Amino acid sequence: MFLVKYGLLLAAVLIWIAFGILQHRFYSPINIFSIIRQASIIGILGLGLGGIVINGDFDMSFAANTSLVGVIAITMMMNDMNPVLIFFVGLAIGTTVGAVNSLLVVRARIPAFIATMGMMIFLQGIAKYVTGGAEIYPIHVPMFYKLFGSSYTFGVIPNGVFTFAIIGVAAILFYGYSRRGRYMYASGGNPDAARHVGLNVRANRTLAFVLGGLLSGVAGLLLISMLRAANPSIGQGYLFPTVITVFLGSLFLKGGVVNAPGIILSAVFMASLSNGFTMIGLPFYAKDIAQGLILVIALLGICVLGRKSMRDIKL
Amino acid sequence: MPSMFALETRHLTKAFPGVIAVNDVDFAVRPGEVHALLGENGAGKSTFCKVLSGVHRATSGEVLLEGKPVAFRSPHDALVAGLSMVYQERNLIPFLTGTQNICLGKEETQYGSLIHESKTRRMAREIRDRVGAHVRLDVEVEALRPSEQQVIEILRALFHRPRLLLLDEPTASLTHQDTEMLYEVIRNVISEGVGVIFISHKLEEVFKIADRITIFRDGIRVATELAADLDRDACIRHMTNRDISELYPDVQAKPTDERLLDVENVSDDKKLHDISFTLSPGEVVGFYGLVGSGRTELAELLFGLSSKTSGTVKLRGEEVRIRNPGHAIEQGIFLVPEDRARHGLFSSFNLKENLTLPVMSRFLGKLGLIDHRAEAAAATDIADNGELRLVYTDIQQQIDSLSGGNKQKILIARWLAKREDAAVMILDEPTQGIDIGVKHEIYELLRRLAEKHQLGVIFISSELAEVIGVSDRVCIFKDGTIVKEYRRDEIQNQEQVLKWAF
Repeated sequence: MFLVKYGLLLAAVLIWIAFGILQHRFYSPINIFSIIRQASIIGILGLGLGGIVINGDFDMSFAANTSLVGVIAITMMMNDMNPVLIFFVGLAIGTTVGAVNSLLVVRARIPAFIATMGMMIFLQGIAKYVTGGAEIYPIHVPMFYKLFGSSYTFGVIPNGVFTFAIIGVAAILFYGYSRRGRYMYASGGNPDAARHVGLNVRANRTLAFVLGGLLSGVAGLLLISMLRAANPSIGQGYLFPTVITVFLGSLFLKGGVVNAPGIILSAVFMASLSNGFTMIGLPFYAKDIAQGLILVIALLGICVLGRKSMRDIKL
Repeated sequence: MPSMFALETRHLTKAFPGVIAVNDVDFAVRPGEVHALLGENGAGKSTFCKVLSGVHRATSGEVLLEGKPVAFRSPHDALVAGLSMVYQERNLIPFLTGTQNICLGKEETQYGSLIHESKTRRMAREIRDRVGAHVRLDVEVEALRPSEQQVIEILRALFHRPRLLLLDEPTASLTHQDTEMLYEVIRNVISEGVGVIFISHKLEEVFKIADRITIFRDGIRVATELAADLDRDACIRHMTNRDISELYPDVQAKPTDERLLDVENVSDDKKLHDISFTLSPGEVVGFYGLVGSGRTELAELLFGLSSKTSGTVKLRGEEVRIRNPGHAIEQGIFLVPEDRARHGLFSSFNLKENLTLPVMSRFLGKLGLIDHRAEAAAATDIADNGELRLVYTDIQQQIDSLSGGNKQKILIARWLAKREDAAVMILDEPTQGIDIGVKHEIYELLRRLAEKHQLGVIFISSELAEVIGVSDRVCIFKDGTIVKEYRRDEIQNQEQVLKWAF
């Protein structure tokens, strides 16, 4: 049980030691912050998806949502629109998509996987329409977004890390220490029983979809601030790494129950892995092989070593 | 010479770390007899059966099937050797037909591997007709009634022509008529010389079907007698070391005119029609009726899980429209549901989290965040509450490791934590599947809630003796409405109540 509970932390420490030995530059402050910067997007998306999974639902569309927010924000920048307005439009789009997902899944009772897959494809189409399919970038990125995502504080700390830190702390408190968070675990764990103790299961599930959408919006804005450009599939590459992060993170501390500290640690772990592989010069396919193996081994850990089965997670 | 026993055990012992679940048991089943196993939960009867059927391996002692020593490594070994077990929970595949379920994995084939439909169907029909079961084999089992599904299970168990059939609480979810049909099948099975081991918590049933009865207590076989030589009181004495007169609490009814709940002509669009009854503070009202007679449906309606189409519900004289369970709880109406695993417990939560869910607001600290230490203290208070004491080792322990009685106590204790806000407490089959010791505790609690705390208590049960033993009044349900109401002092015998329910 100890191995399941702390296995992820152990694995993280092991790869940090291994990469450090193989490549001393792995420990330079610049590289460490670069890892955390890479972890930010996956981490923020994972904390949103995590809430949806806690409620017993799933969302396939969060990455496409991120792409759409990204291309619309960049398009607005290209038209020299007010940076603050762009920011709120981005968050509004993300949140609206989450709300529509909740209508489809919670109200209309379409299975979450199918409904949000439809949403994903739809959003991808809209993003392609907005950009005409091409990579787009503004001539001039507003100062606001440079400060938000691509400048460095004290020359080493990438500013995007602050957003991740704030959302991370908020998520730990919300999922682990708030009444609403506990109610979400109850709703996902046994919706019938949750109703019998007077909880509003639909409201909890709806809130998770809406928050997930909001965080997709944040991730989209952060991503384009880092890249200063967008294309219709900038978010899509984060789909599977984020899903892996959420499930891998569920091993940490709780042996199979999705939790915020686990998601944060596993986002950093995934980013370290990808960064380390590049730094020590492993071939391009090594990362995929490693990620796939890690997910399957982690799930084996839950199902074989841990007493818990995965039946609480419905896909 | 063939053995005179279908199954025999000698000095059978099964020890788990820290506990001897089955202790030196000598036991035998004759061919053609129904041998009932009785005992409180945890008395060792289910472990005993699991050793027989190969789920567990004996620590010492031996098992003989028709005189030959056997040591099964798995239930499949047992099945092939001639010992079939039908478990309490159903294991049918809902969208396959009766034939397909019965013959699953054993279908007759043709042209290599294609299923020979007609031959397979004939096989299933043969088994059915042999035991005289009236059940359709060509419809999907999900369309069958629970009793018919149970019969399909038994037919499947009979496929291997077992010499011994083990039935674990086969009637747990059946109505009275359905149970009769099941007995018919069992009688036909034993007429072929098959031995049957029958586990049940319902004493009345055991007396109807069993030839002999063996009683377990604390892992030891305390008695084996002909059913004819035992009566209800004697069984309870053996099971508990306690007399039946001590089982039900003293009832001191103090009738008041004050009205807590007035239900007038309530109907819904599905099952309930024209239901009227009243509940006063300090009173326990029993709801008796067959499964499906509308008792649970009414409880769910009062708790806001479903809605009425006509009629009125008044709480303390004022009409209320209960929108959902959250609203019912605000009004002081609490429900302890019948299906504990599905509607009550959170298996992903530990004991503490299961107990505190309705009272989370009590230990929120700064910023509205949960103070985990205060929560653990609150949970310990709830668990050690003088009204109903939970037996546990750690307030953070997983709830799977708790006994049925303790799980039931979680659901009740959860509401007791909010007792000051309670007006009406509804308990749906609170004693189902739990042992007599805990039943006794629950009876006393029901009375105390009414008499000492002046709540209105609705007690739903299928066990007539306990309804009469605990309630001030009994409402009898049939076909979705209350057909008769008796005050406690008007009831002379059980038959008087039973005739209204059927």
